[in-house]
Amino acid sequence: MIRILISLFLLACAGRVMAQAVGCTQATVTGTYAVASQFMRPGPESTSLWVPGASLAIVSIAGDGAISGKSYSSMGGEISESETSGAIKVGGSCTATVDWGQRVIAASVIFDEGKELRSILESTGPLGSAVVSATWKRISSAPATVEPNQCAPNAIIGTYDYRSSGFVMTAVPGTSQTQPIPVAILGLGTANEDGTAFATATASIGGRMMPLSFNSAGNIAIKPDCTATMTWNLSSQGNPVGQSQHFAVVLDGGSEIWGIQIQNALGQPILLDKWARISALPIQAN
Amino acid sequence: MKRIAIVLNLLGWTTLAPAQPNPCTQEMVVGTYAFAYEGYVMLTPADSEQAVPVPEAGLALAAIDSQGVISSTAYQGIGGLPGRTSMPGTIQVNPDCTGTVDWGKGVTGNLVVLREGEEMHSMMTASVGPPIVSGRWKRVSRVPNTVDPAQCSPKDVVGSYVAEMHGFAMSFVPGSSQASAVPVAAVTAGSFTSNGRVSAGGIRTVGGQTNSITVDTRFTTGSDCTFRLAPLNAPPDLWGVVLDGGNELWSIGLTSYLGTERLWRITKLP
Repeated sequence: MIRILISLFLLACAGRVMAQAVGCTQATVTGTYAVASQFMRPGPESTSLWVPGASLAIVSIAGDGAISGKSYSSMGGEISESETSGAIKVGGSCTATVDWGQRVIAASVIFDEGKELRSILESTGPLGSAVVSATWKRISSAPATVEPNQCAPNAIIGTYDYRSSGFVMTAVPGTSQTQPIPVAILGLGTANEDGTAFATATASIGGRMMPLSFNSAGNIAIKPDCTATMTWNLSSQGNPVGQSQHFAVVLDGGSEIWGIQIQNALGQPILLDKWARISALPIQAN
Repeated sequence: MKRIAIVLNLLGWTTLAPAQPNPCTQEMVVGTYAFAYEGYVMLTPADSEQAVPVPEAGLALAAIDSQGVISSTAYQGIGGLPGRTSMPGTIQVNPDCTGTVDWGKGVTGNLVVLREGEEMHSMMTASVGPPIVSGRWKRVSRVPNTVDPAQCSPKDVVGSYVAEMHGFAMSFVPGSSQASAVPVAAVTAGSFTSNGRVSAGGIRTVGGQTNSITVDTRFTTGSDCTFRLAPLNAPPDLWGVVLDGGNELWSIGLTSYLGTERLWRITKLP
């Protein structure tokens, strides 16, 4: 019995030493990731003006570090969809360098054994004097695919905490120009078994509080690649406000959803969403 | 009570009824939390009639008792002005896991409780200027106003870390007498050693100008699960809260060097 305990102890110690020695390798970051980025670029008129931007991508990292994926971006409210490619090289101390091409290079740190990365652009290439920071979160350890049953069409049933932050571009009174107005939203939502969803939230739009209700326009279906497009009908205190449309990536079997708004009735959006499941059961409206 | 319900309804909070088997309770949020918040407040400059967004960030160690009474100490920066403040308040949790926070003096917020109170997300609904400020709470301990025995010893923070920061620095634009907010971000990797030193290196970008940074300083930890980074015989550069036995550190810069509107997230490597 004592011999067995000693053997188990030695095994445990060996395992600990091995875990410490392994650190971060190229294999640590192999897989499929959601990548949410925030941009700030100097405005055209003065260096004191900054134009915000945001993007959400789903990317695959192969065993050799090759990156491929697709993304939606909003730069100053101008929405675009694009294919993305690059390469990541893991260095010492769980750092990494990501080369996106065209002299756009990001310095990264790797958290939690590759489950998360944070990066900033150290070389911005054609983006000019931009400040860009990004959060990466692993969807799967398998590149270019997802684990079986991870993203079924109804993967997001339950009750969610909903947050959104960023900006909307709104017209400057008396001019043809637009300006970024900061926005924060916090609320509670539910996704039902039939694919419908609703949420209630409070939005701060430039400091003006606005109660908002979101009702899904049609059913929300999650694609096998863990992405979805969501369209919501917005209302405030019973008055229709318009629609918003979001590109979303489902993480961790539906425990978390990241989104980017690609249309919003309140203004041209530069808004990143985060949904976190707080219960597997949907809630009911009174 | 009816008036409170009407106000909450106007803010969009009371139309949801819980179906979850474990509805949220006041007891669920008793404990000590790290509370980080960031965003903007709309303030009107002296020479203007139009309010402009001014960046704000803060970090607090907040204790919540079983009555929902909050006592906290926070470091925050608003538009380049750093400050240390006590923030007494009250928190009320609803069965549907939403809640409200009243910090007094007209400062209020909404919140959502996650993972049985281990985390909360909040948003300021009123403050000195119209706010666009989001907050994140993470529990340090279930004991209010203190920490569990042996939860935060200095050796907990010894190890290798990676860190990231984003936020703003206030900077004077040539030709202007007013400071304006310049976006900044950084990533670093380094270590906290058993002799109380912190050494790290990384990349920082300030308004799109990138340079490498090195940190070689000292750290101290408190039994209340806080820590400071400070050069020898100098005021502290950075104050933070130790979470999860040292696996995670949240911190805020206290000086222009590390920034007062910048939150750092520091994570221990396995």
